[in-house]
Amino acid sequence: MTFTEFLTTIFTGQNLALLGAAFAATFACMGSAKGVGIVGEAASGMLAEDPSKFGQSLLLQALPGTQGIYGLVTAFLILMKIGLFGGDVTLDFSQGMYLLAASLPVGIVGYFSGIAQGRVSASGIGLISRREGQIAKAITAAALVETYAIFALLVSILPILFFNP
Amino acid sequence: MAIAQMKKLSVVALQKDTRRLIADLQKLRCVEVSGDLRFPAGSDKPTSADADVSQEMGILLSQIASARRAIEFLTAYDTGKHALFAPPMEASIDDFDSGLDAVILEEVQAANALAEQISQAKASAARLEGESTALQPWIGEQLALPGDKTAYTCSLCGTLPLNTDMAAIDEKLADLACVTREVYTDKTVRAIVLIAHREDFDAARKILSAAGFAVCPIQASAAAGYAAGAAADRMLRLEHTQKALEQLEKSAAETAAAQLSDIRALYDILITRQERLRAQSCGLRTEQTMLISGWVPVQAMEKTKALLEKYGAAYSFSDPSEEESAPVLLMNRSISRNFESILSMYDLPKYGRFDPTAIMSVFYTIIFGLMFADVCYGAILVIGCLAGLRLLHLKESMRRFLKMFAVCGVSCIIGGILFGSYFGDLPVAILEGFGGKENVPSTALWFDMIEDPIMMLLLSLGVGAAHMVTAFIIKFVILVRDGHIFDAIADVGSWLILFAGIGVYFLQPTAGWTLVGIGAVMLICTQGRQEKNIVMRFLKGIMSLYDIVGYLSDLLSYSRILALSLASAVIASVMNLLGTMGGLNPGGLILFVLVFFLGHTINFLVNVLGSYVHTSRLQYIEFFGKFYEGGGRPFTPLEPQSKYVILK
Repeated sequence: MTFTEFLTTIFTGQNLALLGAAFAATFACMGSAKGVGIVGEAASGMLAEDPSKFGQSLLLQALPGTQGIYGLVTAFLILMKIGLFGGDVTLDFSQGMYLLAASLPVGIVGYFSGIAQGRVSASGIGLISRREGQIAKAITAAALVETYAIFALLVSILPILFFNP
Repeated sequence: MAIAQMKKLSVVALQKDTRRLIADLQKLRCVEVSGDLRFPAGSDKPTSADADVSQEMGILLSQIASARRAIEFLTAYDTGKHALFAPPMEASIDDFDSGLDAVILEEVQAANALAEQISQAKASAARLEGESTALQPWIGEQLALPGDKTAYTCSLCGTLPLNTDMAAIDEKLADLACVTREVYTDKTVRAIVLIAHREDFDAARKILSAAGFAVCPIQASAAAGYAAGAAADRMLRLEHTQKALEQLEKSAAETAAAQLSDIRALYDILITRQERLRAQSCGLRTEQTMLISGWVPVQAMEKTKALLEKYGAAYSFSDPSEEESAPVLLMNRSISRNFESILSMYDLPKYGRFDPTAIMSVFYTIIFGLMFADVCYGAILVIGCLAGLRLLHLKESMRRFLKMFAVCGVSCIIGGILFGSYFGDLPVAILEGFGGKENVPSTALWFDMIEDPIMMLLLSLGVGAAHMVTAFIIKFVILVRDGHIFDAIADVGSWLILFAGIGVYFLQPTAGWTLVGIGAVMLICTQGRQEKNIVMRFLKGIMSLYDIVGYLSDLLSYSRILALSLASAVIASVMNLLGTMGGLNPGGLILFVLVFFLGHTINFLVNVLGSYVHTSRLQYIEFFGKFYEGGGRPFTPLEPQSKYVILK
């Protein structure tokens, strides 16, 4: 087997698309895991003082979790398009590249915005622990960060939805 | 349909009536007592809150503290099962004001005494247990603890740190008439007995102390039977204490079952009285009279008047002046009042300004329904909220919150019918996965958003454009109403013309361009009007066109409607796909049921939260940002405080 043949067996369209799905899910979920974790740490500190704010803190903690869901949505859409759940699809190299490229925005932006949103939500925990009735402001501040994850999701999934092998 | 009109109330009542008057006003729940009263300069001997009010407040605060302690203590021992859907207890304020409070205060004191007894018993049990543990290693020794004396010798028992260099100590002790003996070692200490001649005892003790010797803290004399006897004695006493503790805890549980709800009611009453006293201390008094001022919504004027007349008090209602900040009470009609919480979480509008709740509630419902468009999810939301309203006894604010979600749920159902979403694509997935059919047509009445996302994007942006234009129109109306007609036309009207031009462009390009041109020229001519320099005016006018970038990004922000609705639809269809993969057989059906419940539950929860947060955000930033005048102070009437019970 020549080196070129080796490369062509590895970099099949199918594998590149799979790489894209893995990329989207991995990095977006990592960002969310980190973000949710940061908020959780801050929330435990507040709950030690005032356990009655559990509901509000849960709301804030759930916010950075959406990036992971966006990554998952993107990954599943790619997996559906490459026929993992049935259907007979073969992709050439450029089609695989197309899907890999589509996975980049949600993976990269998901990672960083998940962490950033986690930090905003964690400081929101600080806000609601000190002042009553400020939960809406804390949520709005965190939702502003999410905007960019949403834009990235759109840029990722619109090409995938229009992809017809 | 807006912000309630407030009247400033001033009352002069007889000193002897004020207590009962304030208590009755509190039951009326419609007067906010304000503390900004000033006697005119030079008037006779005005005194504000005087000594007996503050003394009474002190007594009340200590009663509140002890009631709170008793509640905390008894709650820990409250084992009684409480029915989940039981209505909260009701208590009568009059009963408490006429003697019941004293009875229950005694119960509070008894409960706190019991708490004290229990904590003492626990402390002494812990002490006895600790001592008996400490005695264990010494049990085999016939030694008095911690030391003993004979005619010529002294002994001392104690411990050294485990890492002590014993050889070095032995060397130092070598010159003295003494012996040391190791009794035991454990993980941290080495226990030794020192026996020395009376003359050398102090010197030997000093050497050991320098090495960190700690004298055994417990006493056990020969008469007590040395360590073994002392340990047995401690065990006996521990047993007695534990029995006593058991009795005490049993009676605590009985007290909790019998009296906890009364004490909770008392707590609410005490807080309610604290509010009354606070109101009283806001007033000003002369020798015979008391002057109180406050705010009353116009709607409640009649019943307030009736009450004041019953007491023969002199009163007047006046309109709030400019510098007085009247409190804000939102009053909206039937459905839109449920959306007031969205507004008050953001900021209350200024008194006398525009309350956008009604308009916002329409857009809120539409956007929520688009973001979470699914017939089944919507139905679950509606049924869940209605069940909560029916079964749980919630406070009014929470009831309105649930009603709001029920309204949004109806909107989700409509959205689901339009886009053909029933638990995502469940009907299609079942026909394809279990029925073996292929290319089942979509169930959408209008279009399927997964197949035609661009249509959904256009719809999202269209709703966004309508939302934003509405915001501009509101701003326009506010400016016109305030008499700033030129500002309205220049700052808002020109933008509206420009936007209209963009809309018309798609139908008639020439007319569209003309309108855009008119709008732009108006902006260039007017936006620099604060500048004196003509060049600066022109430049500022040109620069104002740049705002269109901001409006464009606001508009793009509405693409989140597409993103969130797609996310929920895709996750749902993935769950359906995974669920039906097992095929139509027993194993496959079990898989289907598992994936169905787990997957759709998670998807439902995540998307309710997401839709709530992002719909609110679109209101707060894209909508309110364009016209809202916040900074209102919420209306907080003097009313009974109910944390645990409903006070009547």
